[in-house]
Amino acid sequence: MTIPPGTEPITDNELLYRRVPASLNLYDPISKPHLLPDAFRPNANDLTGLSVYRAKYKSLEQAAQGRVGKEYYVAVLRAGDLRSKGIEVFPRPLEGDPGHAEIPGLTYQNRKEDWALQWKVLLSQELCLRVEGPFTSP
Amino acid sequence: MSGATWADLRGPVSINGASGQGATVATGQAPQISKDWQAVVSGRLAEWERNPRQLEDDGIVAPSRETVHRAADIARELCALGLAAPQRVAATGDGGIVFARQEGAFFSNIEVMGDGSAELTVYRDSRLVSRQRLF
Repeated sequence: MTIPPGTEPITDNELLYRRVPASLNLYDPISKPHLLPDAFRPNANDLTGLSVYRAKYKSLEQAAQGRVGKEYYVAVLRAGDLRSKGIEVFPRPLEGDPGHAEIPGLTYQNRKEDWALQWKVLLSQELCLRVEGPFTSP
Repeated sequence: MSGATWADLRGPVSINGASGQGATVATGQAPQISKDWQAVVSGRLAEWERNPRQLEDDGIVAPSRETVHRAADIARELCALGLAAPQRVAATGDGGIVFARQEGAFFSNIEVMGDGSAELTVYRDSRLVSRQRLF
């Protein structure tokens, strides 16, 4: 029996990508702190978890795709690093997008809880391996 | 005398009357602080006021003109308190604007929200140590 692509568990050594709109100024390669916590703030679409993408299914450029002509950065994370801090990540493949995954602990509804604020700081300041881009969305 | 850090700030702050605040700064630093805050108001905030559409994106709520004005007012109030200007200014994507500073092990974040309120959160080594409403 074949497992549908994108449904297999995310291994600890998998890299994950989080798209960050450049227009919000949440990343600045020059001024510190470089990446601000709101790069990991769930938006109104993140009802079941914060969206990330699995590097095994998408290139950086593909993960950065958003509105045509707009620029995006991509924050790179490792699944095992998140889990070591108690932040789980699960596959949530979408139709035509097997690389979609979610951090179910961070949702639009709980985004203002103390621990959610702390997770955002952890993700931006300790767990983010690097930030790539900006990439212009074709 | 060294300047007060954002972590020293205690809310709520009263508009046009922040004398109760413990935060102070060496007078010799005041001109530079004022200049730095002015750069925030006339730079990024003014740019967003002129062209709010640049922030539009899927799932993103850009700060309204009123929120941008409110952030500018709060910037002037914090400047009057003698606090150092933020190192970073960003839009939250949720209708708000954040001012951020890293001071040693402390990371401080002032969020001006869409309803005009403002909240200071302070983290030490990524742990939340303080959260309070400023305005």
